[in-house]
Amino acid sequence: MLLIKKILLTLLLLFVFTSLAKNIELEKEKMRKLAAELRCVVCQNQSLLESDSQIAKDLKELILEMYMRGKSESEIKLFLVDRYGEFILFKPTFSFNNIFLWLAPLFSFLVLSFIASKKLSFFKREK
Amino acid sequence: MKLLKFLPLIIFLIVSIFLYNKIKYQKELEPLSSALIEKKFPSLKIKSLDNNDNINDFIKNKFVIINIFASWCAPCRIEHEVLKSFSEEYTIVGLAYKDSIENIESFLLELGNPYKKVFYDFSGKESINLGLYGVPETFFVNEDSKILYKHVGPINKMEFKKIISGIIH
Amino acid sequence: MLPEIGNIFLIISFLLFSAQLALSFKFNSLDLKYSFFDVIKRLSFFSYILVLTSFFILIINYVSSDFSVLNVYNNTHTNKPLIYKITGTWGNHEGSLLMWLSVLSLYGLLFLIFIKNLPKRFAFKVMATLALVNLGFVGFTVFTSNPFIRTFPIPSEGLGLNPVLQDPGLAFHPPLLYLGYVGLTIPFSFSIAALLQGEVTREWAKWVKPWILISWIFLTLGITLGSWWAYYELGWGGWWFWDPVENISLLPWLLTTALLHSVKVTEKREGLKSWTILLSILAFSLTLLGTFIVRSGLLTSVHAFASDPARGIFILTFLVIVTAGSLLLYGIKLEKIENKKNIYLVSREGGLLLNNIFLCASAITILLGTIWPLVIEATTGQDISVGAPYFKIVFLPLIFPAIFLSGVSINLNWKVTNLDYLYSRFWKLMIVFIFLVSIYYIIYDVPVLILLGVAATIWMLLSVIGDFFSKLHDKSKGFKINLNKTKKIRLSIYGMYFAHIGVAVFILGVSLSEGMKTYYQGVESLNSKIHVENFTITFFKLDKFKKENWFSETGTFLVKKNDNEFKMKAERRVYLDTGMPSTEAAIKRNFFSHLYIVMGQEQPIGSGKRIIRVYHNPHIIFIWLGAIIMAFGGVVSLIDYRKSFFRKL
Repeated sequence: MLLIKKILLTLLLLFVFTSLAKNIELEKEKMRKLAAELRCVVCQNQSLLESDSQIAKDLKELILEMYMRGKSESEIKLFLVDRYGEFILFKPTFSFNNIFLWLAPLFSFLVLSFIASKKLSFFKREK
Repeated sequence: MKLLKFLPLIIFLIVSIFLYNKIKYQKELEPLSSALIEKKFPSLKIKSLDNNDNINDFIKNKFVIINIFASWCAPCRIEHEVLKSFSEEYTIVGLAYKDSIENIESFLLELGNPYKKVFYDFSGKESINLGLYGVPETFFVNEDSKILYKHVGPINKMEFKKIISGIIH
Repeated sequence: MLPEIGNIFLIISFLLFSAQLALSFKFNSLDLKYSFFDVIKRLSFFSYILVLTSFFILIINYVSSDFSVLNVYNNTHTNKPLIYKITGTWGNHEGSLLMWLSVLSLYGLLFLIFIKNLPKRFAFKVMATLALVNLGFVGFTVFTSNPFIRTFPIPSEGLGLNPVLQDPGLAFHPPLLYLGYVGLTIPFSFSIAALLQGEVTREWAKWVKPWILISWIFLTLGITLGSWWAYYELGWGGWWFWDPVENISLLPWLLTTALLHSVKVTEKREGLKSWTILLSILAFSLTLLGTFIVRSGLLTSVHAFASDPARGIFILTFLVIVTAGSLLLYGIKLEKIENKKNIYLVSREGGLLLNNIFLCASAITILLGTIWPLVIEATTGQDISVGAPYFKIVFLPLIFPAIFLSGVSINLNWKVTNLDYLYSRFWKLMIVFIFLVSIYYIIYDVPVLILLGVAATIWMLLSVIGDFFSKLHDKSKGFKINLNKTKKIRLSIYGMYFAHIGVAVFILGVSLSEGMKTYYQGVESLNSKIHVENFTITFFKLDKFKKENWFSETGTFLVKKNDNEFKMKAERRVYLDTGMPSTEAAIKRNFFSHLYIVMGQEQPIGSGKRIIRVYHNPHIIFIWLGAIIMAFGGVVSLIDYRKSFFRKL
C-alpha cells in the first residue's frame, strides 16, 4: 500500500515538475518581453532586461514570480508603477496626459501635409 | 494664414519655455522616487531581529526615520556616524537588507547602534514594496504612517537637517 | 605660460568677433568699400587662427600632462598611452567645446578661401552671421567653460579619464560628428544672408549644396561610428538605444537629409525655396539644442557631461537669440522669397516634397518624444520616461512610407511626369518586386516586420536599378541597352545611387538583426555550458592580470558550432586611475553576423560565478555597412559638386 502511495506521489511530482518546467520557459519569455520595456531604475538609460545590477535582478525575479502566480502584464506594471512611479515605464501610458505624445506622428504629418498641399497641384498644369 | 509664417517661431518658443523651466527649477532636494511620497507606509511582512515586532506595528503613532542598510555596503558605514548623531533626538529604525544576523551584529558592535530597533529583510523581496533602488536609503515617516520623504544614497548631516526642517513646514 | 597664452588668444578672438559684428551693424553693407570688406575679412581670418592656436595649446598641455591646468588635472593621468593623452583633450566638456570652436574656425577659413567667387554684399552678410555664431561659442567657452584655468597647489597626478572613453572611438567619433554639426553653420549663414538679401536663387542653391553635403557626410560617418563604438564598448549588445543624446544627434541628420533633397529642388526648379531656408535654419538650431541638452545635463543619458546650470542658461540664451531671431527673420521675409509656382504632385520634386514630409514628421516626433519628460514634469510634476519601445512604434510608420516614396521619386522626371510613362515604367518594376518578395517569403517564412524590411530593401534596390537602366536606354532603338551611356551619367547621379543602395543595405541589416536576434543572460560558474542558437558556449577559464593602466579579468569561452570550434575572450577592466570598471565584449564575426559575449562582475562576490550575457545578432554588419555606403555616395556626389566651389555667383 505504502509503495503504491510512494509511486503515485512520485508520478504526481514528476507531472507537476514537467508541466512547471514547460510553463517556466513561457513565463520567462513573457518576463523578458516586459523587462525590455522597463527602465533599470539605477542605471543610465538601460532597460531592466539588459541590466546586471542587483535591483534589476531582483525585479526580474519578482516579475517572473508574479507571472507564475498568474498575474497579468498590466497588473505587474501597475504594481511597479505604484512603487517606482511612471519613470520605470519606457513606453509611456496611453493616458490623457500623453495624448500629444502618442498623436505626434499623425499630427505632425497632417500639419506638414497641409502646408505642402498649398504648394502642390494635383493635376497636370498646361505647359 | 498670417500666423502660419510664424508657426516655426511659435513652436520653438514653446519648446524653449519648457527647457528654461527645467533648468530654472531644478529642485534642490529632489527625491528620486516620488511614487511613495505622501502615501501610507505599505504593510510589510518584515520582522525585527528578535522576532517580536512587525515593522508596521512598531512605527505606529510615532515620527520615525527608517534607514535601510547592510553590513556589506561601504557608504552605509560613513552614513552610520551621521545617524548616530541624531539617534538621541529622533526615533531611527534600521532595516537590514540582504544580510545575515551574525554580520549585522558584528557591524553594530563595531560601529555602535543608532537604531531603536533593527528589522530584517534578508531576501530583499519585501523592500521592493518600498520602491528600493539600493542601500542605503532613508525614509521619513510621520505619526499617521505617511511617508513624507525618501532619501536615496548616504545621507549627511546637512541634508538630514534640511530634510527635517523641510518636513516640519 | 602656455595656458595663459591660450586664454588670451581666446579673449582676443572674442573681442575681434565683437568688433567685426559691431562694424557690420554700423556700416551699411550697401556702401561697402573694397578696403572695408578686406578689413572684415582679415579680422575674421585672424580670429580663426587665434582659436585654432589655443586649441593646439590645450593639446600640448594634455600631452605634457601639465596638471597646473585644472582641466588637464581632472581628465588625464600620466600612465595614459600618448594617443589617449591627445584624445583626452576632447573627452570632457571644456576641451570638447574648444574643439567645436576649432572646427568652426576651420570651416570659417575654408569659407574665406572661396569667398572671392561670391558677390561682396552677400559674402559680407555670411561673414557677419558666422561672426555672431563664433562670438556665442567663444563667449560660452571663455566665460563658463574655460579650459585654461589654473589650479594651485599643483597636483602631482591627474584624476584620469572615464574608462569608456579610453578607446580609439574617442579619436574619431567626436571629431567626425563635430565636423558634421559645425558644418551646418555655413548653410545656416548662407540662409540668413539670403533672407537678409531677400532673394533665393538657383545659383545660391548650387553654392550652398556642397556645404550641406559635406556636413551630411560627416554626420553620417560620425553617427555610424558612434553607434559602432556604443555597440562594442557599452556591452549592451545593441547598436541604437534611443538614448536622448542619440536622438538629439539623429535630428540634424534627418533634417540635413531632407535639406539635401529640398535644395536639389531649389537648384533644378527654383522650388521649395522657403522650405530649404527653413530646414537649414532648423538643422543648425537643432545642433545648438543638442549642445544645450548634452552640456546642461538636462536628460539622463550615457553621454552626460558634468552638469552646470550656469552653462545651461548661457547656451539656452544663445540658442533662443539665434534661433528666434532667424525664425522671425524667416517669417518676415517669407513672402519675398517664396516662389509662386506650384509643384505638380507626380514629378520628381513632388516626390521629394512628400518624402520630405515624412522625414520631417519623424524628426518632429523624435524631438517631441525626447523632450516629453520635461513637458510632463513641468505640467504635472511627474517623472516619466520615453524610451525605445515608444520610438520603435512611432518611427516605423513614418519611415517606411519615406523609403517607399524615395524609391518612387528616383524614377520620376523633373517638372512633370506623364502618367502613362509612369505606368509603363513601374509595371515591370512592380512585377519583379512582388515576385522577389513572395519568393523570399515562401523560402524563409519570416514575421511581418522582417518581411516589410526586406520588401523595403528590395524596392529601394529595384528603383535604383530601374532608373539606371532607363538612363542606358537608347530611345530610338527600343529595348536595347547602350553601355556606352554609363559614362554619360553624371557622377552625382552615381553618388545618389550609392546613397540609396546604402539605405537599402542599412534597412536590410536593421530588419534582419532586430527581427532574428537572440539573447541569453545568466549567472554561470566555470565550465558551465550555454546554448544560444546552435552555438554551445563553455565558460572555459578566467584569468586575472594587470595591463597597461588597468586590471584585467579575462574570461575565455570555448564556442562550438557543428564541427567548428573557436575561442572567444571577454574582458572586464578596472582602471587603476579612476577605479571605474568597463566591459570589453567578445565579438566573433561570421559573414555578416555577430556572436557577442559579455562577462560581468562576480555575483555574489566570492562565489566565482559570473553574469554572462550572450547575444546573437544576425546580419548586423549590414547596418554599419549600409551607413558607410551612404556616406560613400555622398563623397562621390561631392566630387561632382566640387566645381560649384569655384563657380562665380
